[in-house]
Amino acid sequence: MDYTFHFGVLGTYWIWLAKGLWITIYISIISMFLALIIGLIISICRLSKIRFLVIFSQSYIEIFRGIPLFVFIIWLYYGLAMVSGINFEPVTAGIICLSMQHGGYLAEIYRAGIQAVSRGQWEASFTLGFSIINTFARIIFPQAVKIIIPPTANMFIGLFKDSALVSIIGVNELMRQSQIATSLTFRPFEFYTVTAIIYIVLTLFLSQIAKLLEFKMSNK
Amino acid sequence: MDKNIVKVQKVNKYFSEILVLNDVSLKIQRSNVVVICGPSGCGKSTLLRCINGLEGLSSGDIIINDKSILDKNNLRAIRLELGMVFQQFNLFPHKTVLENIILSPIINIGVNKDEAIVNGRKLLERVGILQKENDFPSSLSGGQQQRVAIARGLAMQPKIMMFDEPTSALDPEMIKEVLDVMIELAHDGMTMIVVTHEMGFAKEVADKIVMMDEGKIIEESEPNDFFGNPKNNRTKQFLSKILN
Repeated sequence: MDYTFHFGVLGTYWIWLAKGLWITIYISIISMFLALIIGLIISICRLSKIRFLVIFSQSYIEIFRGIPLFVFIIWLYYGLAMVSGINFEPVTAGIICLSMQHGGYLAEIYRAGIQAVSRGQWEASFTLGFSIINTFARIIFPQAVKIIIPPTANMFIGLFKDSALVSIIGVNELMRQSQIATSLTFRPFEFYTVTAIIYIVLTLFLSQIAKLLEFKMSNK
Repeated sequence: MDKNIVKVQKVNKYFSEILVLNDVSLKIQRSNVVVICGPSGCGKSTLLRCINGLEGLSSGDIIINDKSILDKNNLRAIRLELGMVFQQFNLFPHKTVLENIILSPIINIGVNKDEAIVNGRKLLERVGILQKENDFPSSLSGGQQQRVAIARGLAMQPKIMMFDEPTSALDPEMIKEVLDVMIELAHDGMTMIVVTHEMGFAKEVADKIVMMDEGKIIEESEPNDFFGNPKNNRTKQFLSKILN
């Protein structure tokens, strides 16, 4: 081992990493938000009694759970663009892939949470004259949320880390910025160490928020 | 106005292949209390659940206050006229006691919130539990929860109250507090359909007792006849088991 550490390069390039981090956070937050909505819609389809919607949602979940995110990103950005002429901006393509895949994961989490609320709650609500939509929105979902939050927080941590994969289509997020900085300075260890630490710190931050939410919900 | 507020007409109900209600017909008059009893699995709970549309009918018809349950457009109106109390209470655990009671009148009848609260408190007082209005159901005893469930049903000002084994999940010392509320309700002239094994309650307030077995109504009579002179052998057996 005759590697000499030069963390000093960070002094020049930290602004690159900061810009990358900003894009990582931006992509992650938008993807999380979209994934929440996609997951809710797919899980409601999955739990409906309408055959077409059930088949659609099951297919959705199986397809987007089965396709590796890496493959999905390349397929959408390069493959689909060649066939259909639809050219997404790299950031848009990344957000679409992240939110569609994690939406599929979330759909299954939601479904489990919703099904964990007892049948009697639906029946009591119907008996009182609530419509199916009001029953879901006012009675069932608020109870399911408590069950859903911890696994959802885990999912978000996964999504946040998965966002590094969009570097392959040239999105200048944290991972790609550190790759560029490395190729300019030949200092892979320094940049990737710092990058890894940034991911860990933000993940810790997310899991703390999740814990706080869980605590708040359980006290209700 | 038809004096029979509930008319169950030749109802059959299958769960896949199994016949759980076999040609059941029953008429219930306004302000009457009808107690339905029978061994478990005899179809008594299913009958209640058919009456408020939680289960569909395989054949036959049920008319509630001149409205057929078969017409899907009537379902909500029928449910608004029918209160239901469950064995497992089924209070909404994420709402306080008072919220449990006022939510449905506000959303489903359009009562304004202040009025709903005033009404809700009156009902809580009536079932003897006003001091718990801001508590969550999980902090209440079973008997208290069931009284809240009754108040929640009453808040909708139903024409009929149905009870599906309301005391079966309760500790013995809590059964009385629930039955007392139900007895008072009966004396106030509420039309009630009660599935229960509490024969003391049946004796005291029932206008009619219905005995079911294997999906059929096998006996239907006034309490004096039912207890004093049961016609059906199955009823005699059932009574001898349950009264000893």
